[in-house]
Parts: sequence; structure tokens; C-alpha cells
Amino acid sequence: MITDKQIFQVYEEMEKICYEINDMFVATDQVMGRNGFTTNGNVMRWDASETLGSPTTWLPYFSQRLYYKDSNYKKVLGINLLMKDAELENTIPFLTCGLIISTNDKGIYASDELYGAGWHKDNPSIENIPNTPMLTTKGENRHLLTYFLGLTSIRSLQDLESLVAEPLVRMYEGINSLENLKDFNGVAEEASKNIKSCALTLSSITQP
Amino acid sequence: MTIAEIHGKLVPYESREDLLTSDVFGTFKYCDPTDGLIPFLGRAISFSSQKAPVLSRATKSAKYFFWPKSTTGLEPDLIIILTEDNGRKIACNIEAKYLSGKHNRDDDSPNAEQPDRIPGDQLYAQYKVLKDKAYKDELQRELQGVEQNYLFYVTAHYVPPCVDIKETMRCAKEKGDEEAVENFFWLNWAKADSVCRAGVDEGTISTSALLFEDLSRLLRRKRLREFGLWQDREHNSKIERVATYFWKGQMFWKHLELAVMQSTGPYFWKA
Repeated sequence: MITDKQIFQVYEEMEKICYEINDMFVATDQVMGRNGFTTNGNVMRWDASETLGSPTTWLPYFSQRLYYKDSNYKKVLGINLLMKDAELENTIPFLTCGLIISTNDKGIYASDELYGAGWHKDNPSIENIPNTPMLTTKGENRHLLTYFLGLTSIRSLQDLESLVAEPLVRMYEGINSLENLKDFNGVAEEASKNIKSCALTLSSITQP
Repeated sequence: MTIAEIHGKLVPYESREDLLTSDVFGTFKYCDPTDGLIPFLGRAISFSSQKAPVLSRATKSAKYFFWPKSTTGLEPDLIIILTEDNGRKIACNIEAKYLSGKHNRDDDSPNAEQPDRIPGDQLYAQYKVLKDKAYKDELQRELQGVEQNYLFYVTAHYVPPCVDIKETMRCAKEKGDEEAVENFFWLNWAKADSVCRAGVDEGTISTSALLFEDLSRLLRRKRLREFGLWQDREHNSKIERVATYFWKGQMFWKHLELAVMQSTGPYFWKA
């Protein structure tokens, strides 16, 4: 039977995990800042009810940061950490990193689409999810090119640069920049195989 | 540095940059400069390049002037006068930040309520005052004979704060003083932890290792250490990472002590 002491220990370990995640996002903000991207404040979460009857949303089940360049709120980079989603039934936390493009007049300030990119039930291929960069279209106006990373694959600034910042910035810059991204992610050789085709498709969808 | 802060007895004050400045430079003040101060400042990088400042390990003395008032009303956090064995003197202006950014004044109008808010750019203004030796009394006397002026911008960033740096460089350019930024350097507080740990681990410091051990503990309490995630051994021993590969392998966390946190399956996606 679990004891009070053990519950307290679990809580303390959760606090430490939150500190680590905070450090990761702080560093990500700074690295992205060095690449010319800004954030829109310190908000990391929404839909986080603290009310009775919603215990799963008491916890930081996800966190998200979006990055903007030149005040363009319709073409945005983002990182979403998903700790646990009941629908997905994931057994590890993971990061979804990617480019989000809005093709209508609405800017992107928080992205449900990034949260679910690549796995959400709206994606008809949810039964066969590839571990590579993939295109997701939400409705008619939101298009995403995203890839997954294990949370603990980010351990150093070098990891942040090579696994997050460089791929994202190249995605933002477009297909020509992706030409030289031979060792995409370093940890996922297969990712490089289809990123170009994804980027080409995204480009054809979002170009006027 | 106080022991009380290490033990969490000064929580309401922990976020104050003056306390942090006192913690780090106050410790170095009582150590041989070649043990702490010189290695710390030596890890800075230039605003305009990746170069480090030219500081000699043959430094015989360091005089500290905490929060000195300039004749123009500025108050940098610290000015240190280094004297090398060959007699060469270097003035180091330290502007320390923790959770806040630069205090620039928005315009050139004087503002008595905000004496530390500088027309244009806080860092450039401090450097200019240092170069002009616009201080009184003992500091003014010490500045005589100084051959080199450096400005160190110490922050909590993991990477150089490019917006702040560009702003200062733009200000110097507008003032027709572009060469000044060669004497501007950035470093983060985490480097102080690196210096302390290296000194203790390698046994190279001549002063008390206890000072450095405590300063390292304090900086880690404030999470002012080099960026690195999931490296807390105690934490990791409780939550052991079993596999290493997200894409191809079978990765899950297994809590060694608590059944409630044990993995529910070997794969990322449940079958």
C-alpha cells in the first residue's frame, strides 16, 4: 500500500521534472532568439482546468512554446511537450516540433493542431503513425510539418541546436534550406528520407 | 554569500540580483584572484566575436568597489581593478543581471527618479563613464594608470542575449564608438559554478575549497549551472531511464520504488 511519504516523494520528483522542462524551454527560447525568433510571452498551457472533477488537467499534461519571426503570426514554429493524453494512450512523454502555417487571416497564438499533429484521430493514418516528419492538415487552413522527439533526447545545448533549432529554422526557411539537412535530427536517419517530400507538399499547399 | 541562503532561509530575497552579485563576487573577493575571479572572467566572450578578454593569471591583486557612484549618477554593480605582476592595471565594470534586463532610459531627458536608467544604453553608458574615470575618491585614484577598460555583462542566459548585445552595439555605432564593443564581454553565472567545481575537483585552488563548494551549492540551488537536462543523479536513480532510443527502440521509464509510476508497456504506442 502506498504511504504518505511515497506520495510526497512522487510529488517532489514531479517538481524536479517540471524544473527540467522549464530549463529546456528557457534554453529553447534563447536558442531560437539567437536565430531571430521571438515568443509571445511566457504562457505555456491552456485548457488547464483546476476545478473539481477534472483531475487530469490539474497536472501539466502538456506544454507548448511558439516562435515568431518578423511579426508573422501566420507562419510559426512550435514545440509541444505532451506528457500524457488519454486518447493517444502514450506511454512516454514526447516533443512534437514543427512548422505551422495558417492559410486564412487568423494568426496562430496557441496551437491545438500542434498538440495533436501526427497522431490525432482527425489524422486518418493514426493507425499507422510513422516515426518521421509528417504533414498534418487541420480543416482547410492549418498545415503542419512536424516530427517527434523523445523528451530526454534533449540533454545539452548542442542537442537543442541540432535536434530542435536547426531543423525548425530550416523548415521555416523552406525547401531549399532543407536540401542541406542531410543528417536530420541525427537520431532518426529515416526522417531525412521523407522530409523533403513533406516540405514540397506543404509548400504546394500553402503557396498562393 | 551566506549559509542561510544555501539552506533556503532567505527565500524572499533569493531572486535579487544584488544578492547574487554579492554571493559570487563576494566569495571571489576573499580568494586569490587567480583561483576564482580570473578564471571566471576569462570564460567571457566578446560582444563582437567569440574571443575572451585578455587577462593574465599573473595577477597579483584585485580591488573590489561594489555599487560605486559615478560623478554622473550612474551606479554599476561592481568595478574591479586588477593589477598584474608587471604593473599593468585593468578596470573591469561588472553589470549583473539575474531575472531582469538592461535598464535603458527611453530618451535623453534626465530622470531623477531613475538615476540608473541611462540615455540610450545602460552598458555603453557605464563603459563611457569608466573610460572617462568619472568616479570619486579611492576609485578615482585607482583608475589613474589603468591601461585597459573592460565591461562584463553577467546574466543568467544559457546563450548570449543577442537582443541586448545588438542594442548595445547599435548604440556604440550611433555614438561613433564602434571600437568600444571589442571591450564588451558577456558571460553567465553558470560559469562561476564551473570555475568552482573545476577548482575543487582538480584540487588546483590555493584558497579554501569550502568557499567554492558552498558557492557551487548555492548556484545550483538557484539553477545557475551550465545547461544540461536529466543529469541529476539522485533524481535519475529514482526514475531510471531503461532504454535510450525513441524512434527504434523500446523506451519507457521504470520507477524503481513506486509501483504507481511503473511503465505500462514497452512501446511508445499501446498495442
